[in-house]
Amino acid sequence: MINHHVVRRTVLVASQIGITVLFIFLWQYGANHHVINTFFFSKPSAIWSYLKLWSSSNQPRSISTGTTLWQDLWSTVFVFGFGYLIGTALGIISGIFIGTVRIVREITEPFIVFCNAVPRLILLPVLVVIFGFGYLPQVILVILVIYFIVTITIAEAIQETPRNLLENAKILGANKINLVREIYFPSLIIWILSTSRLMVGLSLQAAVAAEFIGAEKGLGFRITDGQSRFRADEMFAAFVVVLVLALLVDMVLTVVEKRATRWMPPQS
Amino acid sequence: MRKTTVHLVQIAVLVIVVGLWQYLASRSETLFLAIGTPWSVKNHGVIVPGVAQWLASWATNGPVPHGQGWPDLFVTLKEATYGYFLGVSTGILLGASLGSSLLIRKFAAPFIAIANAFPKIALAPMFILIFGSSLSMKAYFVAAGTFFITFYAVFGGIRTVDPVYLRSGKILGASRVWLIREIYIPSIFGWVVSGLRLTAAWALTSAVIVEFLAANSGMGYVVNFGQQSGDLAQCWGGLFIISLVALIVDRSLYHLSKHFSAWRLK
Repeated sequence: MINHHVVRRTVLVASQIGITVLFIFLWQYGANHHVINTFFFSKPSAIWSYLKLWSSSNQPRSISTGTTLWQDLWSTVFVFGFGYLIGTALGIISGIFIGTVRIVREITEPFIVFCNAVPRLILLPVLVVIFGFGYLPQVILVILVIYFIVTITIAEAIQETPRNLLENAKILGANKINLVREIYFPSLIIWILSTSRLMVGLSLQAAVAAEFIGAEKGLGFRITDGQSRFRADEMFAAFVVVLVLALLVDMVLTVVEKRATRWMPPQS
Repeated sequence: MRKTTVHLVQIAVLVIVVGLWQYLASRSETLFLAIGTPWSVKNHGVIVPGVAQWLASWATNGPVPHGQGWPDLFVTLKEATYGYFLGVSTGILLGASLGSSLLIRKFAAPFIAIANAFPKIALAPMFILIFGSSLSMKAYFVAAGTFFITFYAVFGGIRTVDPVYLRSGKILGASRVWLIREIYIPSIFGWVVSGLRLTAAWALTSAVIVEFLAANSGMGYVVNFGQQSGDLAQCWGGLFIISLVALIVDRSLYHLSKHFSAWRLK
């Protein structure tokens, strides 16, 4: 007997792979026959050979400014990772502070609303002037992009902690530290996880954008470098690496989410 | 009483921060070069305008280095608005039409997940390469980002339509048009409205970012020129104006979305 579900699934995956292959083939074919302008869109074979040159350590000067793919990738991952971790940590600290102390919440509210509405990505030129070139302004940009959102999320999470849990714990003699450790913290984990996908996406976006101005390596730098030298193959090769990085990060997040929420009852 | 105290403390915090900024930057040469000053100071016998003077000069269409004053803001707003409407309308249309078919939804799911993970800001140089440094290029880039956010929201929102309503509607003899009008549209309306606020912020941000990279007018160009010439007053002033516009847009859309979701049960 044939399992219809399995057959359907196989057909679906096969057609998805098929259309991807067809797309790449048509791109290459069209570029070879001058239907697609390679000046703008390059072609798969050129992108592949650029990737090979880029990742090798003895690359010709004509294709780059001297950094290999791994150095560029590391630079972006460093800015993204550090920015994300520091931004989240600072956001959690100030979120807990703002969420538990009422007077602080009231005083800081308009400032936080303002900062959250302001598009932080555009602060990049000022950060470059203040902190000079290098990693520092890039990491700070990533921190600024996510810090306020984390703060607001955590402060809201603390205010939405179930009241009866808190009151029961207090009746049983819990002090402030016990409350934070036993009640606030577990409920914060859920909030952090539920927003982590958004934060990671924003951080990666900020890390790439931070390399647009005043950087000398990194994936974002590669993309602008390819544009300014009219090398579409360089630009698209950088797109491929950014895409792979984004997907890897996404996969890691999925695994972490599954592990961390294993104790929770399955949601309906 | 408590409210007044809070407001007073808020004003005090603001005054202290700005005052400290002015005091420290006018004392130290390095700090002055790094962060500028809110008010003009005398440096080496020359009066250097601060952020306040720059803003005043900008608002009255006075001289702004490599800027035009208000027309710069209008250029940025034009790019953002054109791109916003283009992106949002195509996003809703495509998201709703593709999302309502289960087969297409299953087929497209991995591709959409991949596109969603990709940081859209990275595409800015590609748009510059393909369309050149023009106003329409910036509108297209803004549209690309807003399109995807809207598309994703609507495409995902359609999945949350309650199948019980759909089945009941079908049993009662509703045609496809009726289903769309009576069930799909009211269900995804909330998604669209909250998406509108998200995309508005994005539209302004992406317009300014792409102006950093290739432009000869617009607020992004003004700020970027300030960075290249080390004119901190221009950097802060330009950013302040963009931030103010972003805040006004965000607040008005927030109240609008509250107004439109008032009928919803909490």
